Amino acid sequence: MDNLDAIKQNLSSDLRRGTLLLIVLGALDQAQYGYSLIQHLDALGIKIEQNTLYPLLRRLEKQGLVDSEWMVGESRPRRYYKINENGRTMRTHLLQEWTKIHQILIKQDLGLEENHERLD
Amino acid sequence: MKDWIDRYLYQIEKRLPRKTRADLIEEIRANLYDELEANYGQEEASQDEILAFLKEKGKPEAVAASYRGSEQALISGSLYPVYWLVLKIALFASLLGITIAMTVSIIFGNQAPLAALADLASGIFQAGISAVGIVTIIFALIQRFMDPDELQQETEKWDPKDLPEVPAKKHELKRSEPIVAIVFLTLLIIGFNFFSDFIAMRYNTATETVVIPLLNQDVLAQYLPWLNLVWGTNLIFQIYLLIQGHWTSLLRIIKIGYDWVGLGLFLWIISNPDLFAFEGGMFEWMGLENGAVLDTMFGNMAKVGIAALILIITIETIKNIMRIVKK
Repeated sequence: MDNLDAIKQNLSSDLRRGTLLLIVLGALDQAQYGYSLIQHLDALGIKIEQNTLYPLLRRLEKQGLVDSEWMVGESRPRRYYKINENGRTMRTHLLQEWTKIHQILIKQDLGLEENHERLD
Repeated sequence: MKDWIDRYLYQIEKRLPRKTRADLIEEIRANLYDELEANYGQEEASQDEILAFLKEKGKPEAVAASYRGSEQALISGSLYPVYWLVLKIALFASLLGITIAMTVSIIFGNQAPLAALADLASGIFQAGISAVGIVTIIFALIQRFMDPDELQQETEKWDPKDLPEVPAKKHELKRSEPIVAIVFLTLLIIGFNFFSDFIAMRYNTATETVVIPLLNQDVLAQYLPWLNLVWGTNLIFQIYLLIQGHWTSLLRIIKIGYDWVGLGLFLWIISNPDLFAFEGGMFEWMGLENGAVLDTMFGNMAKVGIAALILIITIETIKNIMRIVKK
């Protein structure tokens, strides 16, 4: 059973990893620093490991999808991230992909609608 | 209290990619303090609270690894940058050594140019493969035996209280030191194991080139296991030093040990007159004009050289001891 739980955890995190990117891109219309983003996502109901989120922000910046800058006015210097034009284009593209996947799952009739109701 | 956070950050920092290290660690530091503040408020957290907080953050190795991307299996991600560096050094040193050795033997040999070039190419290929193999084996062993924590990904066993102190300024390591040592040791190991007859007197007769090695190969072979033991373990030591990125008192003591054991071994070996293929003076044996005078000069130079070597090692030892003792 433990083994099955571990597999479940692995598969869930695999599934989340791809979609997390979309959620993060969706949260960066306003500039956020690492911990403020964690709190923001937490309020939306998504718990993300810092070790997952912070490197992800770095990767997004390296890929040219978000911009960042150090702000020194507060209690300590913080690096703020904000989505840029490339990021928005990418977000639109990924949303289309996401919609496509969602539609396929509906067509497969796997009880997705029931799950939605349960979540609501 | 800040000390535990500094220790934690230091362990992360030294495992981050060099290029972005400074910037990354500042951001990690800011995030860490933000979270600490959110969890425990503006007031300074207690030691227990900080330790619990760090434990929850996870092992520094894991944090650093998340910034580096995927882990390598045989050589783990945190070892990989140093592995790559040492690999380049060893390749450079062994290729340099073999090119010099073979160029000399081509110049003095009677081989046809094409055959000689083919020999050189195959020699370079073999030396390259050996260098890659030896370095990879050493690193796989270091990963296996010297840093078991790195392999153990079970974070629950990890305790922030085990974090070592941030090394003092006096233990800073110049990276060039182990790098030069690695080049030198690689050249010595390859030179003495594969080209020990390279130091030789060469002269052409009407029909052939005569090569007489200056060192008696059979006698040298008796000492070779000792030389390999000292050089080989020293090579592992230098690589370990490069991975650590700083000295510790223990590492300095080991370094002092290596210096003196190396010197002792060297003096022990050269004190055996049978080691040299010639009797009496080398230049006289070669049949040079004024050979005897040259031999006396060479003998004196050798004595000065040995004295200088002892002096250098003594100074190094004193320096190391001072850094161990210094507060």
